[in-house]
Amino acid sequence: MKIKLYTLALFAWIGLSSCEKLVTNIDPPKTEKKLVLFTFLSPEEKIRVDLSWSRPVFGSGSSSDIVYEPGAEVVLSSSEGLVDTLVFDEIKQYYYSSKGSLIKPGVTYTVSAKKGAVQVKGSTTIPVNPIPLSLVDYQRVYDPNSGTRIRIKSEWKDPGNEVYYYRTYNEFTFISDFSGDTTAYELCGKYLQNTGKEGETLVNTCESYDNSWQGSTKTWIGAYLLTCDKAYYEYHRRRENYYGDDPFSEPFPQYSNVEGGLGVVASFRKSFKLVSLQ
Amino acid sequence: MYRKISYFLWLLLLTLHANAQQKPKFTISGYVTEKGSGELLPGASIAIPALKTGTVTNNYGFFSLTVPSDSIELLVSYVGYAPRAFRFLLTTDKTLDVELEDNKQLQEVVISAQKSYQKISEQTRMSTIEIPVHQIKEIPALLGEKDVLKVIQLLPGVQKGGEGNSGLYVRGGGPDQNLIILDDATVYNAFHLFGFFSLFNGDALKSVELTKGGFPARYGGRLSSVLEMQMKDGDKEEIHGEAGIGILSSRLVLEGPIIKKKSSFLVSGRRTYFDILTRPLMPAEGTVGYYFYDLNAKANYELDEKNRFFLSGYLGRDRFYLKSKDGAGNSNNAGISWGNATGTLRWNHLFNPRLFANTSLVFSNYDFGISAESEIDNSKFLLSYSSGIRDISIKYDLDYRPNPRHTIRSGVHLINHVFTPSAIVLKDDFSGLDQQKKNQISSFENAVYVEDDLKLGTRWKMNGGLRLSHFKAQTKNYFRAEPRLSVLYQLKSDLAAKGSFATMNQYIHMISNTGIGLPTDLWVPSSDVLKPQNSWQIAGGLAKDLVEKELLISVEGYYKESKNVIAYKEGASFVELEFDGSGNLQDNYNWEENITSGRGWSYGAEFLIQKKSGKFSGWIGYTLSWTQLQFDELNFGRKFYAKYDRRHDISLVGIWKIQEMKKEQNGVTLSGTWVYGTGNAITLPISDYNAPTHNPGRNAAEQFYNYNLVSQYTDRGAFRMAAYHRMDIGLQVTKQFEKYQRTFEFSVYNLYNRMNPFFYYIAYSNSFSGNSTRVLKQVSLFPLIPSVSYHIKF
Repeated sequence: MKIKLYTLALFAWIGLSSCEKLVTNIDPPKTEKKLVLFTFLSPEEKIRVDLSWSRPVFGSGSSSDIVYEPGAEVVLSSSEGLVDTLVFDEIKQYYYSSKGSLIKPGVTYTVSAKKGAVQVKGSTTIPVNPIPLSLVDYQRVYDPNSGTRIRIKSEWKDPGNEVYYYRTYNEFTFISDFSGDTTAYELCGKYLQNTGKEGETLVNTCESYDNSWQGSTKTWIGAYLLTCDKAYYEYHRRRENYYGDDPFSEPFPQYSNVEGGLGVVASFRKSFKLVSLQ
Repeated sequence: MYRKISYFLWLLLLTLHANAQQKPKFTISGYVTEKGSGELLPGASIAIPALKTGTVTNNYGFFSLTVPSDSIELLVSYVGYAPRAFRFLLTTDKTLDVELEDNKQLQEVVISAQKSYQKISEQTRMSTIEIPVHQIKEIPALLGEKDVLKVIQLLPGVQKGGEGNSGLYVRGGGPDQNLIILDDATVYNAFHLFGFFSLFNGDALKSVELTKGGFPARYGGRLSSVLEMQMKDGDKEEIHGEAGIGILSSRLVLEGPIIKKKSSFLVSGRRTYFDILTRPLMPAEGTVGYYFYDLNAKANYELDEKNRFFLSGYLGRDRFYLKSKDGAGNSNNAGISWGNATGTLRWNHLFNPRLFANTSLVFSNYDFGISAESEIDNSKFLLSYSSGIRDISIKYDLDYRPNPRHTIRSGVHLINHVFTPSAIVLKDDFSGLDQQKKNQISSFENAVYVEDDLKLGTRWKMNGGLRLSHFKAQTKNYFRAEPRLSVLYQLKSDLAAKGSFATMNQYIHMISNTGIGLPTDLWVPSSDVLKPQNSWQIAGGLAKDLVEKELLISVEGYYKESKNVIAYKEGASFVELEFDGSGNLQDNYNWEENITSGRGWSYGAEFLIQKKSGKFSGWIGYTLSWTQLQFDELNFGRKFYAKYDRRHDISLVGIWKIQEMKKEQNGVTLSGTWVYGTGNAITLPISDYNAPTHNPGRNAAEQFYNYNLVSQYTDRGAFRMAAYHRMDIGLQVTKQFEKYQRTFEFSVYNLYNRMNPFFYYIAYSNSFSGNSTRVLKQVSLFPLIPSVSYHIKF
């Protein structure tokens, strides 16, 4: 139940007496389609670069289909030169490195993509060390209206000598008693930075519905702490709070550090703790 | 810096005051009233030409002038009234109550060469515009609803938000940065029908004055402007009334004596009847309706020569409702209601002919409520949400006029604000829920001030003052010193150069992300986290009077910087009632998390030619301005143009009395307005693309990404809507009968049917091939709208 519903009804009522027309006396803002490049680099994960095209709003239709670009030259380089030329996986629809994990801590990498005359690129410096989780704990809370919820607490020590950006990510992991397969799905997480709490022990809690019984007696919370660069933090913070073009809210521009195009080239380090659920 | 300015001002005041005390003098004091009704006239001019000195009446019609013993010729004048001259030998203090006769009553009398005109080139204050109430009534309006705020929007330096919107954007400030005062009471939401009409219809008003800069120290609490309105006191001689029937509403004003010459009353009411007219068209099982009403009342009592009492109040409300009931007895009722209530008790006390005091006890309340109630199979559900602000304040103001060179004002203002960001009641028989939550914040806003209107030699005038303000917020106390200075240098008898400097602080804030005066706009206090808004403004200009033509010309330039102005964070939306995952109502709406603070810069130039009376009156206004904002959390920290940044704003207002009303002749008045404004600066999406979120969990081996479609926008405020322009005309035909006067008014809003944009949205346009493309569409609210109304005055 939201006030918004009533407000929308009121606006609809006002709208009955209004009139609308195509805007012809001014030109809508024009833009060309752009290459959109996304990659999140880490020594803990394989290299993946997603490359697609944006669609100008005016003069085109709308579609949620991703317009992948399979035929671009995508290059990973560092200050020491070319690291690898990435190849496109036709099935998975992204570019990857056939050389495995090449990402090293503390190194600044540039990812560039070229398709015809269009070239885009972005850079990121890999955080040096993953920061370990010192504590992960959970609590079950029962509510007669909504059932059982699970509250997860994570703690870690902030190094404190500079600005650190973090992401907590918790997932429910279980091995099926029937099939023996291991499955995981996201529970909750947050984005935060250490401003004002430099050098302190940081505590983060998040809460989710508890659907931990999934036909399994072997269940865990998989708790992750990502130490990110600013691009990773800013991009995800905005992306996760983006709920579409709500006419009653302020526009929420998305973060981009890709020159000549859109998207983000970001990096992180990851630490992990597994907690058995009782 | 502030300390040095304050010290200098005090030193100057003390020195001048000491010099002025050297000669013995006598005081002429009294009240200026309208002949016949006894209505007190604020701002009337009292002059002694031989001594090249004079003064004006204060807000309560009182004046005091202390001059050397001599043979005195004193002139009293007021716009729209016949001036009067008095000759007497001043050998002792003299009480002189002056009655001025309305020009309209002097049909056959030839008014003397002495013009009833107050020269702008002699007023120290700048950036201040007074609009005669009779002009407000003559300017054409949407559906014939005379609206003070819509007329204010026609002044240079004041922009409106959008089509039909009564909100004021003064010198780049937001609509929450205007202090709107009705008889000393702050009005928090001055709008009906989502901003299309204001609370003030002009029938019950005596004076309207807007201050955009160069604020005297007696005003404070808002950054951008002060709009001060005074209600009429009521006729002390005879019962009079006015009634009007229009397309949207009807109204009635009644005034008269309670005790002849000592006490009077005024009652004014207005109500719309859209809901009543459409009721027969509604289906039996459900109705939808909307109405608003206003009620103004005032009474005054003159106890003796030294004591007068005034009691005034306003009550207004908007209500939108939906009701339905089926044959089985199941029902649904929902509604939105909001309104203001103000009350002011004032006591004017004259300590002596030079010292006047006013004490006001003021109540002001604004509340917004939404409710949904249903009964299904005898199971009841009730949800109600409300928010609001309530003030109780005391004002004590002294007006001391020791000699013609000084008018010293000082005072104390104490306000207790009680904010209710949210109060929620939820009852549900089905689930057994029964919850009531109320979130209230009490704060104190206090101020003391002193100011002096002083004359330095024959060419210089100055209004200097200092306001010390205080706000108690949670655990924090904010103290601010606000120096004010306005200076005038008389270049010629009818030409003056003016300059001003003012700092302002604003301790309460309105959270709004629409800017269109919705009742969901929420007033919140400064807190430990949210700092008071602060601004400083300098202005300079020239003021010229063309006395014979009764014209005033003003050119002003200004520069204003603001700090801690607030805005919604990107992505933040309306106030919402949210339940947590357990189905419980959230404790309260956490407004502090949804807003962000930043800085603002406004500068520009304003040009005004105004003619307040005569056969042809009106004004031409032009504003050239820039307004930019910068917030660390908006637009990636980059500066951007405010939504209502308006490069050019033009208004032409003309009122032509084609034919004066006489016994055997109709009075005919033709009026017209034309406005032009650069389009609003808005943000539009320009492209969309699919954007993932990174999944760092167990499936990271495959780096499963969650993709969603997102928009790429123009820079904030980088797109301009189409320019706004519109012409309105009105024709009033008035006839005097034996016992009453009637007026037919015909008006046309948007004469040339300009489709001005209210808002833009992205729509789909289908081609013959079946492909759809996205296009920009605009919604316009008001095409050409003719209206007619009928008024009688008795």
